[in-house]
Amino acid sequence: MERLKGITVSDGIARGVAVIVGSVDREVPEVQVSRGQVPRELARFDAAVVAVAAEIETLKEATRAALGDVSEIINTYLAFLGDEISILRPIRRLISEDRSEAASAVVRHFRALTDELRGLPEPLPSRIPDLLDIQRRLVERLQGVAALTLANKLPKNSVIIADDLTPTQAASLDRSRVVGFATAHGGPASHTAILARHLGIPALVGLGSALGTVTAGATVIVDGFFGDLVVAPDAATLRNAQSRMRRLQQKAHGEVGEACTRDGTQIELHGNIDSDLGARELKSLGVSGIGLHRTEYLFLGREHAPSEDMQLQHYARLLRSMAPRPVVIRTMDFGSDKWDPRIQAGREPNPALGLRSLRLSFAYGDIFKTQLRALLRAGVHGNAKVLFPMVTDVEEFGRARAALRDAMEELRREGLPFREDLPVGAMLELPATALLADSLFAEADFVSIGSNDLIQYALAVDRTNPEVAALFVPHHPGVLRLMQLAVQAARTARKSITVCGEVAGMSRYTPLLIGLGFTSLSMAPSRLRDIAEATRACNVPACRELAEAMLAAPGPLAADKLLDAFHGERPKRATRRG
Amino acid sequence: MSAPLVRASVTLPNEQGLHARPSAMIVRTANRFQAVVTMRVGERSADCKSIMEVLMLASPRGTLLAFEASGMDADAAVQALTTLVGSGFGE
Repeated sequence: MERLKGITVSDGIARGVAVIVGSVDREVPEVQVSRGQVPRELARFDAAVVAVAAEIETLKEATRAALGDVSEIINTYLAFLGDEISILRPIRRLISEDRSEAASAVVRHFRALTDELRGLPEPLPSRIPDLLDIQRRLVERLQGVAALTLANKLPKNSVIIADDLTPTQAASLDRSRVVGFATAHGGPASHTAILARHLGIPALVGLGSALGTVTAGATVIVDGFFGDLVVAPDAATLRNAQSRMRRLQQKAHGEVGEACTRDGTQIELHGNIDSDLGARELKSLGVSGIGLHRTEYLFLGREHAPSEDMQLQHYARLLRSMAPRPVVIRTMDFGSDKWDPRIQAGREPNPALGLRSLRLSFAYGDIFKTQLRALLRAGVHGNAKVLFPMVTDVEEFGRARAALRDAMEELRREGLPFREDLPVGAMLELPATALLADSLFAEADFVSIGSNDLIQYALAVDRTNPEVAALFVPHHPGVLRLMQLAVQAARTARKSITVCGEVAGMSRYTPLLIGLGFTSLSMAPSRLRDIAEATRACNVPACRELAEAMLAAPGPLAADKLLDAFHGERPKRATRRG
Repeated sequence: MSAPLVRASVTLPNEQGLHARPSAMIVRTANRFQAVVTMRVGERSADCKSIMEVLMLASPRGTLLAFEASGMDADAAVQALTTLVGSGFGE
């Protein structure tokens, strides 16, 4: 039995069979063939090109359903696969002249191509991932590795193990056979994470090179509660996991149920969603509303920013389906771990401290304005609220509000209907913002705490870096004091504050958040039932006592002990949660 | 051997320049014809049937693209490509 530590990006627990998905870094030895074998290698190469082109063609439909229209990407792929001059002929030449084995000829030529692109100005380097994806597919064909795209080949209860999934891979999975994901790289906004949250199955990222030791076909447990991938679990671990899975499944039916503490404090539970899929289901679950709609989804896999009309239709549909309940729509939040081909933020030496989120929106004023116009126009279709990501202080918030006012002015001149009094909120994700929360509330109609970034910036820990990921702890007293400042400022200003990072969806932290004074939480839909149940078990005075003790703790270990003591003895933790 | 060259130039109108999608459209259009079609930007040129070559020209908005074609359907090829570019690739 082996336990690999990862970062949970989608909660839950699953047991399944490891399916290794071919990685870009697959070792391809440089092999030479004899002169007599050259024709065979040429034929193998041509057959692989035809097969990969057909494979990509079949993805068009599947991908459209899953990720929106990515036919633009797919047409580009097909053009690469048909490029005689720069791709096919040079590879054939390596085979016939250097007597390179087909797969090594592919790798040699693609390496030369990507090296060349890397040295050129944007947007050329942005095509490198496409080329690597094509290379991977060709090599997998030539080496006879089952491509993930052959969805029908997946065994039942597959746990997908990969470096990271490309959009086409994520879209082409046979979802009925996948129970979990574990990737070496990727972050909370990777395609893997988005897909897993949508499917409500567990996903771990950041497992690093240790993932390379997992063998195909091994029994694995993806444990989102602890962030563990357990390989070849022993009988006791397996039993424990299965009983927790059963309890989760039992809870997965019916309404979320009342989220009210034992002593009668009502906690609002909202859903976080990435796309408009599942909005109706959310409403039927009985949630208070959508606490965070991330809009990056609209931009992914497209060559161009989505048009105002397209965005308007999307937001309006979502608002109508949730009305009269509120839908908090966050403006585009790119940069750092979220990447978009139009926006070259990933190339900074220190992207988490770079041009990201709202700063990036200011830098790309046209795209930002299009989104604001669409949001204002959609506002008449339901109970919309606009949320700006990673606001540093009230001055920056004012600048974002001014952009919104400019958009209003334009719409007024054009005579287009829009909602004038759209509530506008700020995402609190920086320690500085927490320290200045009182002044922020003078302008912001509401505040949402993005706990993931708040923790990252307060503790200087990148949770996607396996070397330090273990230091990423929501219960660090330094983090808790920042959250306390924010919730107190909200109370003084009589405005609403919602926790919408992952901590809101972890039942272990529910008593702590209630104790700190939060009464509104927003989480992945799959977490709602669990958190509602945890809320019903809470007693506010006891929660408050817990929070006070943890706020006074000298460090994270001491705080963690207090939380363990609150929940009961440590070894029972896994089973108790269910 | 020296078939007559058909030439026509057009200015690239679309906002984001010749990125992946329009490049793929140029290649697909050029592939419908037998003619050899070249696209020149200043000193540099690309075979319109190679997406890598077309992409490498990295042409921003406002670039003058000069098409040259030879072959039996050269006229039609140049006509189709200039129309495609002139329309802003339907963007």
